[in-house]
Amino acid sequence: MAGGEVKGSVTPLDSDFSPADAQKAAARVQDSIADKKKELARLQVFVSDNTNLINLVQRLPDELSHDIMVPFGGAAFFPGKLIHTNEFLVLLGEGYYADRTARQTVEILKRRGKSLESQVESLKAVMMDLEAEAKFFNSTASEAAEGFVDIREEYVEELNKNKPESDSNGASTSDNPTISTADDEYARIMARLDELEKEELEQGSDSGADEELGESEISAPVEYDSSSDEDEKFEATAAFSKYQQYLKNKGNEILQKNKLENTLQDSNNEESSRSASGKPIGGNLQQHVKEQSPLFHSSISVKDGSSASKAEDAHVTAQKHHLLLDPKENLRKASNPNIENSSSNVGKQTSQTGFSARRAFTGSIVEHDDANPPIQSTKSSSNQSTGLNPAKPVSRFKMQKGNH
Amino acid sequence: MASSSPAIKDLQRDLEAQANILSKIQKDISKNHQVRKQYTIQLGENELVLKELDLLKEDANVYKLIGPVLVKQDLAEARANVRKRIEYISAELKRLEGTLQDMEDKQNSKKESVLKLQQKIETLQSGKSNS
Repeated sequence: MAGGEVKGSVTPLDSDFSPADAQKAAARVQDSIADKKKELARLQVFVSDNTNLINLVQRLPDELSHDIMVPFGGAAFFPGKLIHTNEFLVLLGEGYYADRTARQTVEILKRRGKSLESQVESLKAVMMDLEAEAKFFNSTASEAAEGFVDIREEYVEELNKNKPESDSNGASTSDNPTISTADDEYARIMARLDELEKEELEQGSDSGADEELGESEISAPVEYDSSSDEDEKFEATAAFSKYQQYLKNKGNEILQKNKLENTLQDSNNEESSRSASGKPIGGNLQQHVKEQSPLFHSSISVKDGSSASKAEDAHVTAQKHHLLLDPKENLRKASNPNIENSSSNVGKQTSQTGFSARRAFTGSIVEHDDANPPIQSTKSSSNQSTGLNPAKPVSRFKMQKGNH
Repeated sequence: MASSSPAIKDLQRDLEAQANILSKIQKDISKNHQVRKQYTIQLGENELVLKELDLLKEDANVYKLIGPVLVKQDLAEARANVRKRIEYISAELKRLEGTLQDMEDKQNSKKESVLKLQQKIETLQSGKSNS
Protein backbone atom coordinates (compact mmCIF):
# COMPACT_ATOMS: atom_id res chain seq x y z
CA MET A 1 0.00 0.00 0.00
CA ALA A 2 1.27 3.38 -0.89
CA GLY A 3 -0.39 4.73 2.18
CA GLY A 4 2.38 6.92 3.48
CA GLU A 5 3.08 8.65 0.23
CA VAL A 6 2.36 12.34 0.26
CA LYS A 7 -0.02 12.98 -2.54
CA GLY A 8 -1.12 16.51 -2.38
CA SER A 9 -0.88 19.76 -0.59
CA VAL A 10 -3.10 21.73 1.69
CA THR A 11 -2.69 25.42 1.86
CA PRO A 12 -4.78 27.91 3.72
CA LEU A 13 -6.85 29.86 1.28
CA ASP A 14 -5.61 33.17 2.56
CA SER A 15 -2.07 32.39 1.50
CA ASP A 16 -3.23 32.11 -2.10
CA PHE A 17 -5.77 34.88 -2.00
CA SER A 18 -5.15 37.26 0.78
CA PRO A 19 -8.33 38.94 1.94
CA ALA A 20 -6.89 42.33 1.11
CA ASP A 21 -6.15 41.29 -2.44
CA ALA A 22 -9.54 39.78 -2.94
CA GLN A 23 -11.14 42.90 -1.62
CA LYS A 24 -9.05 44.99 -3.97
CA ALA A 25 -10.19 42.88 -6.86
CA ALA A 26 -13.77 43.28 -5.74
CA ALA A 27 -13.30 47.03 -5.58
CA ARG A 28 -11.95 47.06 -9.11
CA VAL A 29 -14.94 45.13 -10.37
CA GLN A 30 -17.16 47.56 -8.55
CA ASP A 31 -15.45 50.38 -10.39
CA SER A 32 -16.14 48.85 -13.74
CA ILE A 33 -19.72 48.27 -12.68
CA ALA A 34 -20.00 51.97 -11.92
CA ASP A 35 -18.62 52.74 -15.38
CA LYS A 36 -21.18 50.52 -17.00
CA LYS A 37 -23.90 52.13 -14.94
CA LYS A 38 -22.93 55.52 -16.28
CA GLU A 39 -23.00 54.21 -19.81
CA LEU A 40 -26.37 52.67 -19.19
CA ALA A 41 -27.71 56.00 -17.93
CA ARG A 42 -26.38 57.68 -21.07
CA LEU A 43 -28.07 55.13 -23.29
CA GLN A 44 -31.30 55.52 -21.42
CA VAL A 45 -31.16 59.27 -22.03
CA PHE A 46 -30.77 58.47 -25.72
CA VAL A 47 -33.76 56.20 -25.63
CA SER A 48 -35.99 58.77 -23.98
CA ASP A 49 -34.76 61.46 -26.41
CA ASN A 50 -35.61 59.19 -29.26
CA THR A 51 -39.13 58.50 -28.05
CA ASN A 52 -39.70 62.23 -27.50
CA LEU A 53 -38.51 62.94 -31.00
CA ILE A 54 -40.82 60.31 -32.42
CA ASN A 55 -43.76 61.94 -30.66
CA LEU A 56 -42.80 65.36 -31.98
CA VAL A 57 -42.32 64.18 -35.54
CA GLN A 58 -45.65 62.41 -35.44
CA ARG A 59 -47.44 65.58 -34.32
CA LEU A 60 -45.76 68.03 -36.68
CA PRO A 61 -47.60 67.20 -39.93
CA ASP A 62 -50.95 67.50 -38.15
CA GLU A 63 -50.93 71.19 -39.08
CA LEU A 64 -49.88 72.83 -42.31
CA SER A 65 -47.82 75.36 -40.36
CA HIS A 66 -46.86 76.03 -36.75
CA ASP A 67 -46.38 79.36 -35.06
CA ILE A 68 -43.13 79.17 -33.13
CA MET A 69 -40.50 81.35 -31.54
CA VAL A 70 -37.32 80.92 -33.54
CA PRO A 71 -34.15 80.96 -31.47
CA PHE A 72 -31.79 83.68 -32.62
CA GLY A 73 -28.34 83.41 -31.16
CA GLY A 74 -28.14 82.10 -27.66
CA ALA A 75 -30.43 84.55 -25.92
CA ALA A 76 -32.94 85.98 -28.37
CA PHE A 77 -36.05 84.69 -30.09
CA PHE A 78 -38.26 86.05 -32.81
CA PRO A 79 -41.67 84.89 -33.93
CA GLY A 80 -41.77 82.67 -36.97
CA LYS A 81 -43.64 79.93 -38.70
CA LEU A 82 -42.85 76.31 -39.40
CA ILE A 83 -43.92 75.37 -42.90
CA HIS A 84 -43.39 72.23 -44.94
CA THR A 85 -44.23 70.28 -41.83
CA ASN A 86 -44.09 66.99 -43.64
CA GLU A 87 -40.56 67.32 -44.98
CA PHE A 88 -37.61 66.20 -42.93
CA LEU A 89 -33.95 66.04 -43.62
CA VAL A 90 -32.85 63.10 -41.53
CA LEU A 91 -29.28 62.43 -40.52
CA LEU A 92 -28.59 58.78 -41.19
CA GLY A 93 -25.13 58.89 -39.68
CA GLU A 94 -21.63 59.33 -41.07
CA GLY A 95 -22.64 62.65 -42.63
CA TYR A 96 -25.38 61.22 -44.82
CA TYR A 97 -28.75 62.93 -44.89
CA ALA A 98 -31.94 61.96 -46.65
CA ASP A 99 -35.17 63.77 -47.46
CA ARG A 100 -37.99 61.99 -45.72
CA THR A 101 -41.63 62.46 -44.87
CA ALA A 102 -42.82 62.45 -41.29
CA ARG A 103 -44.01 58.88 -41.51
CA GLN A 104 -40.77 57.65 -43.00
CA THR A 105 -38.82 59.56 -40.39
CA VAL A 106 -40.77 57.89 -37.64
CA GLU A 107 -39.90 54.53 -39.12
CA ILE A 108 -36.21 55.39 -39.15
CA LEU A 109 -36.40 56.61 -35.58
CA LYS A 110 -38.16 53.47 -34.46
CA ARG A 111 -35.46 51.31 -36.00
CA ARG A 112 -32.90 53.38 -34.22
CA GLY A 113 -34.77 52.94 -30.97
CA LYS A 114 -34.70 49.19 -31.42
CA SER A 115 -30.93 49.12 -31.80
CA LEU A 116 -30.66 51.29 -28.71
CA GLU A 117 -32.80 48.84 -26.79
CA SER A 118 -30.60 45.94 -27.77
CA GLN A 119 -27.57 47.89 -26.64
CA VAL A 120 -29.21 48.52 -23.29
CA GLU A 121 -29.98 44.83 -22.95
CA SER A 122 -26.43 43.73 -23.64
CA LEU A 123 -25.11 46.32 -21.23
CA LYS A 124 -27.41 45.02 -18.54
CA ALA A 125 -26.20 41.48 -19.14
CA VAL A 126 -22.61 42.62 -18.82
CA MET A 127 -23.47 44.33 -15.57
CA MET A 128 -25.05 41.18 -14.19
CA ASP A 129 -21.88 39.30 -15.02
CA LEU A 130 -19.76 41.86 -13.29
CA GLU A 131 -21.93 41.81 -10.23
CA ALA A 132 -21.63 38.06 -9.97
CA GLU A 133 -17.89 38.46 -10.26
CA ALA A 134 -17.83 41.03 -7.49
CA LYS A 135 -19.84 38.71 -5.30
CA PHE A 136 -17.34 35.98 -5.93
CA PHE A 137 -14.45 38.15 -4.96
CA ASN A 138 -16.17 39.20 -1.81
CA SER A 139 -16.97 35.66 -0.80
CA THR A 140 -13.41 34.65 -1.52
CA ALA A 141 -12.21 37.44 0.69
CA SER A 142 -14.44 36.39 3.55
CA GLU A 143 -13.55 32.74 3.13
CA ALA A 144 -9.87 33.51 3.14
CA ALA A 145 -10.39 35.57 6.25
CA GLU A 146 -12.25 32.76 7.92
CA GLY A 147 -9.42 30.36 7.26
CA PHE A 148 -10.69 27.99 4.60
CA VAL A 149 -8.08 25.70 3.13
CA ASP A 150 -7.29 24.79 -0.42
CA ILE A 151 -6.67 21.10 -0.95
CA ARG A 152 -4.86 20.07 -4.06
CA GLU A 153 -3.61 16.77 -5.30
CA GLU A 154 -1.90 15.84 -8.53
CA TYR A 155 -3.90 13.52 -10.67
CA VAL A 156 -1.75 10.49 -11.28
CA GLU A 157 -3.02 8.47 -14.15
CA GLU A 158 -3.64 4.93 -13.09
CA LEU A 159 -2.11 2.25 -15.23
CA ASN A 160 -4.16 -0.67 -14.01
CA LYS A 161 -7.76 -1.51 -14.61
CA ASN A 162 -9.01 1.29 -12.47
CA LYS A 163 -8.48 3.77 -15.22
CA PRO A 164 -11.96 3.73 -16.72
CA GLU A 165 -13.40 3.93 -13.27
CA SER A 166 -11.50 6.96 -12.30
CA ASP A 167 -12.53 8.50 -15.56
CA SER A 168 -16.15 7.86 -14.94
CA ASN A 169 -15.71 9.14 -11.46
CA GLY A 170 -14.30 12.35 -12.74
CA ALA A 171 -17.33 12.67 -14.92
CA SER A 172 -19.56 11.83 -12.05
CA THR A 173 -18.67 15.00 -10.26
CA SER A 174 -21.26 16.38 -12.59
CA ASP A 175 -23.76 13.90 -11.22
CA ASN A 176 -23.26 11.27 -13.79
CA PRO A 177 -24.43 8.00 -12.32
CA THR A 178 -22.21 5.01 -12.91
CA ILE A 179 -24.02 2.35 -11.03
CA SER A 180 -24.41 -0.26 -13.72
CA THR A 181 -21.55 -2.44 -12.58
CA ALA A 182 -22.40 -2.10 -8.93
CA ASP A 183 -23.12 -5.76 -8.34
CA ASP A 184 -19.91 -7.00 -9.87
CA GLU A 185 -18.07 -4.41 -7.94
CA TYR A 186 -19.79 -5.50 -4.79
CA ALA A 187 -18.56 -9.04 -5.21
CA ARG A 188 -15.08 -7.83 -5.86
CA ILE A 189 -15.17 -5.56 -2.90
CA MET A 190 -16.16 -8.37 -0.63
CA ALA A 191 -13.38 -10.58 -1.97
CA ARG A 192 -10.93 -7.81 -1.48
CA LEU A 193 -12.19 -7.19 2.00
CA ASP A 194 -11.56 -10.75 3.01
CA GLU A 195 -8.05 -10.48 1.72
CA LEU A 196 -7.50 -7.33 3.62
CA GLU A 197 -8.84 -8.80 6.76
CA LYS A 198 -6.34 -11.62 6.55
CA GLU A 199 -3.60 -9.19 5.94
CA GLU A 200 -4.55 -7.22 8.94
CA LEU A 201 -4.68 -10.22 11.17
CA GLU A 202 -1.21 -11.07 10.06
CA GLN A 203 0.09 -7.65 10.58
CA GLY A 204 -1.33 -7.57 14.03
CA SER A 205 -1.32 -4.56 16.22
CA ASP A 206 2.21 -3.31 15.86
CA SER A 207 2.03 -1.77 12.43
CA GLY A 208 -0.38 0.92 13.40
CA ALA A 209 1.92 3.82 12.85
CA ASP A 210 4.11 2.66 10.04
CA GLU A 211 1.56 3.59 7.47
CA GLU A 212 1.62 7.15 8.51
CA LEU A 213 4.46 9.45 7.94
CA GLY A 214 6.40 10.57 10.91
CA GLU A 215 5.37 14.10 10.26
CA SER A 216 1.72 13.44 10.88
CA GLU A 217 -0.01 14.93 13.80
CA ILE A 218 0.83 14.74 17.43
CA SER A 219 -2.39 13.21 18.50
CA ALA A 220 -2.37 10.51 15.89
CA PRO A 221 0.13 8.20 17.59
CA VAL A 222 -1.94 8.31 20.70
CA GLU A 223 -4.82 7.01 18.75
CA TYR A 224 -2.82 4.29 17.15
CA ASP A 225 -1.69 2.96 20.47
CA SER A 226 -5.09 2.92 21.96
CA SER A 227 -6.59 1.40 18.89
CA SER A 228 -4.32 -1.57 19.02
CA ASP A 229 -4.59 -2.15 22.75
CA GLU A 230 -8.09 -1.50 23.76
CA ASP A 231 -11.56 -2.52 22.98
CA GLU A 232 -12.62 -0.86 19.83
CA LYS A 233 -15.51 1.13 21.09
CA PHE A 234 -13.77 2.26 24.14
CA GLU A 235 -10.71 3.09 22.18
CA ALA A 236 -12.74 5.18 19.86
CA THR A 237 -14.19 7.26 22.60
CA ALA A 238 -10.87 7.58 24.31
CA ALA A 239 -9.18 8.63 21.16
CA PHE A 240 -11.96 10.95 20.51
CA SER A 241 -11.79 12.60 23.88
CA LYS A 242 -8.07 12.96 23.54
CA TYR A 243 -8.66 14.47 20.21
CA GLN A 244 -11.09 16.87 21.65
CA GLN A 245 -8.72 17.93 24.32
CA TYR A 246 -6.08 18.42 21.78
CA LEU A 247 -8.40 20.47 19.75
CA LYS A 248 -9.52 22.48 22.67
CA ASN A 249 -5.99 23.49 23.23
CA LYS A 250 -6.17 25.33 19.99
CA GLY A 251 -9.26 27.43 19.76
CA ASN A 252 -8.58 28.20 16.19
CA GLU A 253 -8.69 24.59 15.30
CA ILE A 254 -11.96 24.16 16.98
CA LEU A 255 -13.35 26.96 14.97
CA GLN A 256 -12.16 25.23 11.91
CA LYS A 257 -13.67 22.02 13.04
CA ASN A 258 -17.05 23.52 13.60
CA LYS A 259 -17.00 25.00 10.19
CA LEU A 260 -16.13 21.74 8.63
CA GLU A 261 -18.81 20.08 10.62
CA ASN A 262 -21.32 22.36 9.12
CA THR A 263 -20.03 21.48 5.75
CA LEU A 264 -20.34 17.87 6.62
CA GLN A 265 -23.86 18.35 7.78
CA ASP A 266 -24.76 19.91 4.51
CA SER A 267 -23.07 17.23 2.56
CA ASN A 268 -24.90 14.67 4.60
CA ASN A 269 -28.18 16.08 3.51
CA GLU A 270 -27.16 16.13 -0.06
CA GLU A 271 -25.55 12.82 0.07
CA SER A 272 -28.20 10.74 -1.56
CA SER A 273 -28.61 13.11 -4.45
CA ARG A 274 -24.92 13.36 -4.85
CA SER A 275 -24.19 9.76 -4.32
CA ALA A 276 -22.92 9.23 -7.80
CA SER A 277 -20.02 11.50 -7.20
CA GLY A 278 -18.69 9.56 -4.31
CA LYS A 279 -19.53 6.10 -5.39
CA PRO A 280 -16.43 4.10 -4.89
CA ILE A 281 -16.75 0.90 -6.78
CA GLY A 282 -13.19 -0.13 -7.11
CA GLY A 283 -12.35 -3.40 -5.48
CA ASN A 284 -8.81 -2.35 -4.90
CA LEU A 285 -7.44 -0.37 -2.09
CA GLN A 286 -5.16 1.86 -3.99
CA GLN A 287 -7.79 2.29 -6.55
CA HIS A 288 -9.97 3.81 -3.99
CA VAL A 289 -7.34 6.17 -2.99
CA LYS A 290 -6.88 7.11 -6.56
CA GLU A 291 -10.53 7.51 -7.05
CA GLN A 292 -10.31 10.58 -5.06
CA SER A 293 -7.92 12.05 -7.44
CA PRO A 294 -10.35 12.92 -10.21
CA LEU A 295 -11.85 15.37 -7.85
CA PHE A 296 -8.53 16.85 -7.15
CA HIS A 297 -7.82 16.70 -10.75
CA SER A 298 -10.85 18.72 -11.59
CA SER A 299 -9.74 21.46 -9.31
CA ILE A 300 -6.23 21.32 -10.60
CA SER A 301 -7.09 21.49 -14.22
CA VAL A 302 -9.00 24.62 -13.55
CA LYS A 303 -6.07 25.97 -11.68
CA ASP A 304 -3.77 25.31 -14.57
CA GLY A 305 -5.95 27.25 -16.92
CA SER A 306 -6.15 30.20 -14.62
CA SER A 307 -4.11 33.06 -15.82
CA ALA A 308 -6.73 35.69 -16.16
CA SER A 309 -8.66 36.79 -13.17
CA LYS A 310 -11.77 35.25 -14.56
CA ALA A 311 -10.20 31.89 -14.60
CA GLU A 312 -9.09 32.47 -11.10
CA ASP A 313 -12.63 33.07 -10.32
CA ALA A 314 -13.54 29.74 -11.72
CA HIS A 315 -10.77 28.28 -9.72
CA VAL A 316 -12.26 29.66 -6.60
CA THR A 317 -15.48 27.98 -7.47
CA ALA A 318 -13.72 24.77 -8.07
CA GLN A 319 -12.12 25.08 -4.72
CA LYS A 320 -15.36 25.70 -3.02
CA HIS A 321 -16.92 22.86 -4.77
CA HIS A 322 -14.03 20.85 -3.79
CA LEU A 323 -14.14 21.77 -0.18
CA LEU A 324 -17.71 20.76 -0.10
CA LEU A 325 -17.12 17.60 -1.98
CA ASP A 326 -14.17 16.44 -0.09
CA PRO A 327 -15.76 15.85 3.27
CA LYS A 328 -18.60 14.28 1.47
CA GLU A 329 -16.26 11.88 -0.07
CA ASN A 330 -14.79 10.99 3.22
CA LEU A 331 -18.14 10.56 4.83
CA ARG A 332 -19.25 8.38 2.05
CA LYS A 333 -16.24 6.28 2.46
CA ALA A 334 -16.87 6.07 6.12
CA SER A 335 -20.23 4.56 5.39
CA ASN A 336 -18.80 2.26 2.84
CA PRO A 337 -17.68 -1.31 3.17
CA ASN A 338 -14.20 -0.36 2.21
CA ILE A 339 -13.35 1.23 5.44
CA GLU A 340 -9.82 0.44 4.70
CA ASN A 341 -9.87 2.71 1.80
CA SER A 342 -11.37 5.55 3.62
CA SER A 343 -8.91 5.06 6.37
CA SER A 344 -6.02 5.14 4.01
CA ASN A 345 -7.51 8.21 2.49
CA VAL A 346 -7.79 9.92 5.76
CA GLY A 347 -4.40 8.79 6.80
CA LYS A 348 -3.04 10.10 3.60
CA GLN A 349 -4.71 13.38 4.03
CA THR A 350 -3.47 13.85 7.50
CA SER A 351 -0.02 12.91 6.47
CA GLN A 352 -0.21 15.23 3.54
CA THR A 353 -1.19 18.11 5.58
CA GLY A 354 0.97 18.87 8.49
CA PHE A 355 -1.45 21.70 8.81
CA SER A 356 -3.52 21.96 11.90
CA ALA A 357 -6.75 22.67 10.12
CA ARG A 358 -6.49 19.37 8.39
CA ARG A 359 -6.16 17.65 11.67
CA ALA A 360 -9.22 19.42 12.78
CA PHE A 361 -10.81 18.22 9.65
CA THR A 362 -10.07 14.64 10.42
CA GLY A 363 -11.24 15.27 13.91
CA SER A 364 -14.46 16.61 12.68
CA ILE A 365 -15.12 13.46 10.83
CA VAL A 366 -14.49 11.55 13.96
CA GLU A 367 -16.91 13.64 15.84
CA HIS A 368 -19.54 13.90 13.27
CA ASP A 369 -19.90 10.34 12.30
CA ASP A 370 -21.00 9.63 15.82
CA ALA A 371 -23.37 6.84 14.86
CA ASN A 372 -20.45 4.48 14.47
CA PRO A 373 -17.46 5.34 16.56
CA PRO A 374 -15.76 2.02 15.97
CA ILE A 375 -15.42 2.83 12.36
CA GLN A 376 -13.92 6.08 13.28
CA SER A 377 -11.32 4.37 15.25
CA THR A 378 -10.71 2.16 12.33
CA LYS A 379 -10.08 5.12 10.25
CA SER A 380 -7.78 6.93 12.54
CA SER A 381 -5.90 3.82 13.39
CA SER A 382 -5.06 3.49 9.76
CA ASN A 383 -6.12 0.17 8.37
CA GLN A 384 -5.39 -1.76 11.47
CA SER A 385 -8.70 -2.46 13.09
CA THR A 386 -9.87 -5.95 12.51
CA GLY A 387 -13.02 -7.91 12.79
CA LEU A 388 -15.14 -4.92 12.21
CA ASN A 389 -15.06 -4.85 8.50
CA PRO A 390 -16.87 -8.03 7.60
CA ALA A 391 -19.79 -7.31 9.87
CA LYS A 392 -20.47 -3.70 9.16
CA PRO A 393 -19.73 -3.35 5.50
CA VAL A 394 -22.56 -5.45 4.27
CA SER A 395 -25.28 -3.44 5.82
CA ARG A 396 -23.48 -0.24 5.03
CA PHE A 397 -23.19 -1.09 1.48
CA LYS A 398 -26.78 -2.07 1.27
CA MET A 399 -27.72 1.14 2.88
CA GLN A 400 -25.69 2.97 0.39
CA LYS A 401 -27.17 1.08 -2.43
CA GLY A 402 -30.59 1.88 -1.12
CA ASN A 403 -29.73 5.51 -1.42
CA HIS A 404 -29.40 5.36 -5.11
CA MET B 1 29.81 39.25 -0.98
CA ALA B 2 31.78 41.88 -2.75
CA SER B 3 31.61 39.84 -5.93
CA SER B 4 27.86 39.25 -5.76
CA SER B 5 26.74 42.82 -5.32
CA PRO B 6 27.82 44.06 -8.77
CA ALA B 7 26.09 41.07 -10.28
CA ILE B 8 22.94 42.01 -8.45
CA LYS B 9 23.26 45.57 -9.65
CA ASP B 10 23.58 44.37 -13.21
CA LEU B 11 20.55 42.21 -12.82
CA GLN B 12 18.57 45.03 -11.32
CA ARG B 13 19.46 47.32 -14.19
CA ASP B 14 18.42 44.59 -16.57
CA LEU B 15 15.18 44.14 -14.72
CA GLU B 16 14.44 47.83 -14.90
CA ALA B 17 15.01 47.90 -18.64
CA GLN B 18 12.78 44.89 -19.14
CA ALA B 19 10.07 46.37 -16.96
CA ASN B 20 10.20 49.55 -19.02
CA ILE B 21 9.76 47.63 -22.23
CA LEU B 22 6.92 45.73 -20.68
CA SER B 23 5.10 48.85 -19.60
CA LYS B 24 5.58 50.30 -23.08
CA ILE B 25 4.01 47.25 -24.61
CA GLN B 26 1.14 47.47 -22.20
CA LYS B 27 0.59 51.08 -23.15
CA ASP B 28 0.54 50.11 -26.80
CA ILE B 29 -1.98 47.44 -26.08
CA SER B 30 -4.31 49.82 -24.32
CA LYS B 31 -3.96 52.27 -27.18
CA ASN B 32 -4.79 49.51 -29.58
CA HIS B 33 -7.87 48.72 -27.53
CA GLN B 34 -9.04 52.29 -27.73
CA VAL B 35 -8.55 52.53 -31.47
CA ARG B 36 -10.34 49.27 -31.94
CA LYS B 37 -13.24 50.45 -29.84
CA GLN B 38 -13.54 53.56 -31.98
CA TYR B 39 -13.49 51.53 -35.16
CA THR B 40 -16.11 49.16 -33.86
CA ILE B 41 -18.40 52.06 -33.09
CA GLN B 42 -17.86 53.48 -36.56
CA LEU B 43 -18.54 50.12 -38.09
CA GLY B 44 -21.83 49.89 -36.26
CA GLU B 45 -22.83 53.35 -37.39
CA ASN B 46 -21.94 52.62 -41.00
CA GLU B 47 -23.93 49.47 -40.96
CA LEU B 48 -26.94 51.39 -39.68
CA VAL B 49 -26.49 53.94 -42.46
CA LEU B 50 -26.25 51.25 -45.08
CA LYS B 51 -29.42 49.63 -43.77
CA GLU B 52 -31.27 52.92 -43.99
CA LEU B 53 -29.91 53.67 -47.45
CA ASP B 54 -31.00 50.28 -48.66
CA LEU B 55 -34.48 50.98 -47.37
CA LEU B 56 -34.73 54.23 -49.31
CA LYS B 57 -36.50 54.36 -52.63
CA GLU B 58 -34.44 55.06 -55.73
CA ASP B 59 -35.84 58.56 -56.20
CA ALA B 60 -35.04 59.71 -52.66
CA ASN B 61 -32.79 62.69 -52.21
CA VAL B 62 -29.59 61.91 -50.34
CA TYR B 63 -27.13 64.52 -49.16
CA LYS B 64 -23.69 64.26 -47.74
CA LEU B 65 -22.39 66.77 -45.25
CA ILE B 66 -19.04 67.99 -46.55
CA GLY B 67 -17.63 70.65 -44.33
CA PRO B 68 -20.39 73.17 -43.74
CA VAL B 69 -22.51 72.33 -46.78
CA LEU B 70 -24.82 69.56 -47.77
CA VAL B 71 -23.94 68.15 -51.17
CA LYS B 72 -26.55 66.22 -53.06
CA GLN B 73 -25.46 62.71 -53.87
CA ASP B 74 -26.65 59.91 -56.03
CA LEU B 75 -28.24 57.22 -53.92
CA ALA B 76 -26.31 54.42 -55.63
CA GLU B 77 -23.11 56.33 -55.16
CA ALA B 78 -23.82 56.88 -51.50
CA ARG B 79 -24.50 53.18 -51.01
CA ALA B 80 -21.26 52.23 -52.77
CA ASN B 81 -19.35 54.71 -50.62
CA VAL B 82 -20.76 53.37 -47.41
CA ARG B 83 -20.07 49.79 -48.45
CA LYS B 84 -16.50 50.66 -49.24
CA ARG B 85 -16.13 52.34 -45.92
CA ILE B 86 -17.46 49.29 -44.11
CA GLU B 87 -14.99 47.12 -45.97
CA TYR B 88 -12.15 49.42 -45.04
CA ILE B 89 -13.11 49.49 -41.38
CA SER B 90 -13.44 45.72 -41.22
CA ALA B 91 -10.00 45.29 -42.76
CA GLU B 92 -8.59 47.77 -40.31
CA LEU B 93 -10.18 45.95 -37.41
CA LYS B 94 -8.71 42.69 -38.57
CA ARG B 95 -5.28 44.27 -38.85
CA LEU B 96 -5.55 45.71 -35.36
CA GLU B 97 -6.56 42.32 -34.05
CA GLY B 98 -3.43 40.82 -35.54
CA THR B 99 -1.16 43.42 -34.02
CA LEU B 100 -2.89 43.02 -30.71
CA GLN B 101 -2.17 39.31 -30.77
CA ASP B 102 1.46 40.04 -31.53
CA MET B 103 1.72 42.52 -28.72
CA GLU B 104 0.11 40.17 -26.26
CA ASP B 105 2.60 37.47 -27.14
CA LYS B 106 5.41 39.92 -26.66
CA GLN B 107 3.94 41.04 -23.39
CA ASN B 108 3.76 37.52 -22.08
CA SER B 109 7.32 36.71 -22.99
CA LYS B 110 8.48 39.95 -21.41
CA LYS B 111 6.51 39.18 -18.29
CA GLU B 112 8.21 35.85 -18.05
CA SER B 113 11.67 37.30 -18.44
CA VAL B 114 10.93 39.91 -15.81
CA LEU B 115 9.74 37.23 -13.45
CA LYS B 116 12.86 35.19 -14.06
CA LEU B 117 15.05 38.16 -13.37
CA GLN B 118 13.21 38.85 -10.17
CA GLN B 119 13.68 35.30 -9.03
CA LYS B 120 17.36 35.42 -9.88
CA ILE B 121 17.81 38.56 -7.84
CA GLU B 122 15.92 37.06 -4.97
CA THR B 123 17.99 33.92 -4.89
CA LEU B 124 21.16 35.96 -5.11
CA GLN B 125 20.06 38.18 -2.30
CA SER B 126 18.98 35.33 -0.09
CA GLY B 127 22.28 33.61 -0.76
CA LYS B 128 24.01 36.77 0.27
CA SER B 129 22.12 37.10 3.49
CA ASN B 130 22.81 33.48 4.33
CA SER B 131 26.52 33.72 3.82
